[in-house]
Amino acid sequence: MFRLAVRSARVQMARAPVAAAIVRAPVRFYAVAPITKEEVTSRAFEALKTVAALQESKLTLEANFQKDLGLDSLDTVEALVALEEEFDLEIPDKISDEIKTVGEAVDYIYEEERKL
Amino acid sequence: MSRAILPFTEANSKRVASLFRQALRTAFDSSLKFDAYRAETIKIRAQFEANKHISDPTELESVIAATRAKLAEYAHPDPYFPPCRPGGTKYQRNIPVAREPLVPGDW
Repeated sequence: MFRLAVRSARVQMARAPVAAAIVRAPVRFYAVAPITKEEVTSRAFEALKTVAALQESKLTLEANFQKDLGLDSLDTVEALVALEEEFDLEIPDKISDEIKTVGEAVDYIYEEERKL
Repeated sequence: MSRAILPFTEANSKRVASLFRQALRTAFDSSLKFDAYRAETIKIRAQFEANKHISDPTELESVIAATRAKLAEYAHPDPYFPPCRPGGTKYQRNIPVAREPLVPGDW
């Protein structure tokens, strides 16, 4: 019985270097790739298209909500709430008041997404 | 120096915008379904639009106070927090481990 055990141990030792050769350098797998700014932008545009006042306006990053897109203050709030729903975050009042253009909103959301 | 009190100042529109945002959040907290929430947002918007013409500062103040009282009454006891944000259930669940040695000194 012990001889059998010794033999099986010897077989394992013989096989060990083969197994070591198969193991390659460790690769790290991410559950989700880190979000890119392009992705944030495209998702933000998709979300903004759902706002009634923005449906057929031309969206760019430089567009000012009130001057270029012709929204009033409540429409702007609706647009930002649509973005909040899309990205599942809550923009505080103080920052919402500061955000004037689409690009500023995208920048803020990108910074927040990177913190996760 | 007498200055006419204007209803359409930037500060006032910010206050109203803040109330509107708060109203939308309250509606989101209280509506279980997304389509119900959408219908509710349209109603809220209509209520805000109905008071758009107000140009009398005292009337504006009374309307804002009434809106505040209503929002305080309707405030949800257990509001929604996005999971990954402060206050959420997933917030800081997996904090990265500190990379410096845990026990200082030469071992």
